[in-house]
Amino acid sequence: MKKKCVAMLLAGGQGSRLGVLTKSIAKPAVLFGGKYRLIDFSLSNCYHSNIGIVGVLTQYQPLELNSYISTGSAWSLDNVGGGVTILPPYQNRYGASWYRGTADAIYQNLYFLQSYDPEHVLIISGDHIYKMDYSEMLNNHIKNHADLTIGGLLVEPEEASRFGIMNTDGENRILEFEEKPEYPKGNLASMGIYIFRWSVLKRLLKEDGAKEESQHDFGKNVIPESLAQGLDVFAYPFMGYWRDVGTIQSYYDAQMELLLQTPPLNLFDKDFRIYSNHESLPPHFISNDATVTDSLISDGCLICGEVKHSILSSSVIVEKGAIVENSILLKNVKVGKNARVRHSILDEGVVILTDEEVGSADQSVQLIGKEEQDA
Amino acid sequence: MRKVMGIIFQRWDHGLQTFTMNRGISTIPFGGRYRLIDFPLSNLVNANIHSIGVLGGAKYGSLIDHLGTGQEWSLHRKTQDLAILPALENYSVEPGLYFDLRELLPSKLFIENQSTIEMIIFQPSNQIDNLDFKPLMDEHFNGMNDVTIVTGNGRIDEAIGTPDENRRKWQGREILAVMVQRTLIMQALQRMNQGGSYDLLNLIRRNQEHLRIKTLTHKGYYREISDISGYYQANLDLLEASVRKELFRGPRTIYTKSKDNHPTQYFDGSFVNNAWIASGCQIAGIIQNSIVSRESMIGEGTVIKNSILMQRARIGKDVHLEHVILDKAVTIRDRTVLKGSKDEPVVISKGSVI
Repeated sequence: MKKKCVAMLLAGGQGSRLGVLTKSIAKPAVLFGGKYRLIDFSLSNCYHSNIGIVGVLTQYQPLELNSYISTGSAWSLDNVGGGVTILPPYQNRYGASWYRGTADAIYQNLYFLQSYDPEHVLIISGDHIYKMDYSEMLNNHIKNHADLTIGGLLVEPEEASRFGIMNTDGENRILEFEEKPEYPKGNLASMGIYIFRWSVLKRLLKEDGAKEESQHDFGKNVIPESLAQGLDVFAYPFMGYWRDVGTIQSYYDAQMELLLQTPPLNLFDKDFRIYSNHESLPPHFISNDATVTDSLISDGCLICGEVKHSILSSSVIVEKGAIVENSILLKNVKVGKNARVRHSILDEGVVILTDEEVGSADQSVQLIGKEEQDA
Repeated sequence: MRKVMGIIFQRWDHGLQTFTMNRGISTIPFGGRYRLIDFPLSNLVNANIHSIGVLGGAKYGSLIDHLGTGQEWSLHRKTQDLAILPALENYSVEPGLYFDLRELLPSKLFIENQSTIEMIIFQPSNQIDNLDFKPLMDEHFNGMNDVTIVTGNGRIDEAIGTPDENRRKWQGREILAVMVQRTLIMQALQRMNQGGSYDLLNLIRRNQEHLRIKTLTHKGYYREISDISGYYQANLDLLEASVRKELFRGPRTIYTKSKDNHPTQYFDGSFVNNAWIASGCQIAGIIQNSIVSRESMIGEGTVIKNSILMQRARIGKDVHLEHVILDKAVTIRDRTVLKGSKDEPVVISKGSVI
């Protein structure tokens, strides 16, 4: 069945800079903003962009991610003849290999794309926070007769060396692409969102796959190669909200922005909802002894203490006399009586004992995982 | 496994008319995010009963919208069946009756065709409880009962005794569910064409000498909702830890249609005490002893006490609400004051702007 555009979602990354948060789950499965997991944003974007076929490439700690994605029905991506397909590394008659890089992950699944024989392939990753209608980018790509279009975002010049930087002409044609340059010439950063003409992608990946020295990475190898070959490569500047939450600090900051009176990312917007695969939980209860201000509270929570400027995921319990300030408490965290949690991120299922104190206002964000606790 | 069918029916809604102008009693919102029917329906699903007929009555639009494909209750599998049964033409539920079997006449085939079903559980849709049907079904089948009646007072172990002693125990008690062998219902439906008795309980009472009847009692929480004050009280019951624990924190989940809302946001200056608050709300005011449903917005300086807010309430600034029930999508303008009493809460109907 021929399709116009199929999406490939890279969800195999470990996200090692998120420490214990990704000890047992892949980065796209990390909780965000109370009830979401990072991958919800990309999957919801696919739904809103009318992209009905999404291949999800998993590798690192895939169990929770796979069961979370399930049939894709939570994002209405369980349509007949398409929907979500999870694509783990596999064994074939030549042997078996892990995905050696972002490009290799797609290369190993060319047969999946071939089965749909699309005109274009959208490549996105499962760990960015943003709302984007990819169909506008696709229209742009088609209008430009581009071989490759790269989503780009203007970043602060001092941050530019963290990203792949695209230097363009007045028509957004990319003249030069530098991966994490020491001295960036511009500040239009690659968002890691690519639309390739399928025939071009197939050829580039086959060539790249044959190169011993390649790291099989889009940013490092495939994109510079497509420019070197003189292909039509364009940037698609994106003006909206976009965050990479690859570090503890950026993960913390992006969530705390949700507590602003008018957050830069509006998650109450009904026309562009971010869907998630959540359990059926009762409303939260705030007891007589509790005070809650300036916070986000999810379903199933039971609050008997004081919660200030914090984000609580589902089924968190805060007992009487406990104080939670400037913190992010993930699913099923329990804060015991008279305990004090400040400026901390508590991973799923962490238990803070009665009278225990965690974090302090003047330190950097404290990340508490379950394993550390058991030790 | 013995195969069982569930029938969820609607009782007389006279006492709840402010809520049932455009919806059946089954889909009255309850407890912040639920509809009344979620409780009987989840009870059946939690006992692995996957053949369920729901009587929608004349105003079944909101029921179809709420139940959808049955996905939220895992009732959308190929072999499982959730059916909204058609209503009798020109029929309205009569007072005094428990369940009028004539309501099943248009859907006789639904019962007739499922020949592997041995027993049918009848449950009204306006009842809040978390019933564990598994042991009740075991009692029914192990005792080879024709009829098992689940009542709401006393303890379950009172039921031990011969069917003879047990036969009349249900009379005069609140009835939570009635389990009847399917063949008896089939017979009754056949005879109904020739006129005769049609209330399920009347029929049982009349034939009690020939039937093996057992009464079992549910010792936990239950509340039948048949008027405004009962509705108000049942909602406020959720502020009791024991009720919340039994209904929502036990092994049996109460399922409902999910909404994919953002978690509720509390702003600076909000003050909330003893309140049950659903997702997707934005709260800047003061809330005490109240139930707030999904997607409600509460403005600064507003005080809400002892009130029940259904979905999408839009409450302005400096409003004062006490003993008030707001149906869905009510807008209250800045500085409005509404006060009812514990026995007579003020009720504002769906979509009003005040």
